[in-house]
Amino acid sequence: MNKVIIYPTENGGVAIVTPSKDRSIERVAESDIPHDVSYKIIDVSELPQSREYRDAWEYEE
Amino acid sequence: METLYLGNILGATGPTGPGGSGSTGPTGPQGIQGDPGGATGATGAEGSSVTGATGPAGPMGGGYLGSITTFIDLNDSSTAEGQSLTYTTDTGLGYNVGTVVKIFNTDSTIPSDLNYLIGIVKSYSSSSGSVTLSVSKRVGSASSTNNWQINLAGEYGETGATGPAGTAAGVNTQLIYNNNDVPDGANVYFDNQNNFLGINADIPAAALDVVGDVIIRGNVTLENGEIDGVNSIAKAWVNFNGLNNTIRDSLNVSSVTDLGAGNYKVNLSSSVDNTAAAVATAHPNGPGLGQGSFNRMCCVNMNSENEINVTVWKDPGGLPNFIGVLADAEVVSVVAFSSL
Repeated sequence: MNKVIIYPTENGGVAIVTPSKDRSIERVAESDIPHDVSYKIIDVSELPQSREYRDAWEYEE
Repeated sequence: METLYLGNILGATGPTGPGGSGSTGPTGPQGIQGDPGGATGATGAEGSSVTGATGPAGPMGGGYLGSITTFIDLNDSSTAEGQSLTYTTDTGLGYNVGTVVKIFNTDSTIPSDLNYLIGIVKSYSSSSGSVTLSVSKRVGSASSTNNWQINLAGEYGETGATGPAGTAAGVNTQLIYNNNDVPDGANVYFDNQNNFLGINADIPAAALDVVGDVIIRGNVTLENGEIDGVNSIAKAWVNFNGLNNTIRDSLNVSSVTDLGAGNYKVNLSSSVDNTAAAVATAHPNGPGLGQGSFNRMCCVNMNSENEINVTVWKDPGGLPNFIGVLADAEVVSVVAFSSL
């Protein structure tokens, strides 16, 4: 199961953070996520299949 | 009574008659054979076979180890090979003409295996101890008056075959290997002054100096050192798929953040000097997200010492008047160089 981190961007979109092979997702959450935002760790399969409207994606708490 | 007749009285002697001779009579018959003698006697008894007692031991032969108190200088021309030397040593030794001898020193400051003469005895007087020899080999350069000795030795072997030529510098030594039982020179050199080893480098300039490609089938760890030419080594790089959020491979990258279509952020594991860094990005022209083979352009910016922002733009109209809009790409690569 490939995990990614999602968090809301300043312009109302959603950022998706993919760890490299030598970093755990927990450590990436500590180092690569802005400190003042909430985030979720989800499976990559939970992302929309199509990226055609990628910039229209929104983050839900 | 007996009658005596006078007539029978002896008359006078008559004259001698004439001489006569008769013929020889016949040979008498053979006499009878004499006695043949007694029978052969019996064989006599066998004689004694007892071995006699061992005789007394012969006199002790002469030894070979003797002392020489003459001053000997192995560095002098008088002791060179081919020279004839005469010394006085012990009497009663067993030397004969042709005996091979060794003259060496027993002083610990003159190693006997590094300083000696090999010679062939030309004459030796058992009564005076005078020995004359012809020097066949001289080793070392020691000189001394004391502690020289003479003893039996073996023939000095013939000079071996000439080895391969060494390096002219005299500092770097070419290593020799066994090439089917024949010594051969390898392209490996050892600098015995600096303890440097060179492979294809006859004058190694570092502990290990290799000219050519190197394959290391394991990890490399740097401890308390740096890599020369570090500016030519990427401090970070990554190749990722902008369509499905996967990272193919990377170095010094902790994650890639997908901020939107064609908008990515590469997060570095260890920071680099972003004030003098050189970063680059590229992606092959090709299909993006349903946009066919539109021309694309990648832009990169190092936001901070641990963030690199990458944008990919497509141009629906094509060059030269590029009108870009952000668009995803299947292959995006980023590399960063820095001196620190």
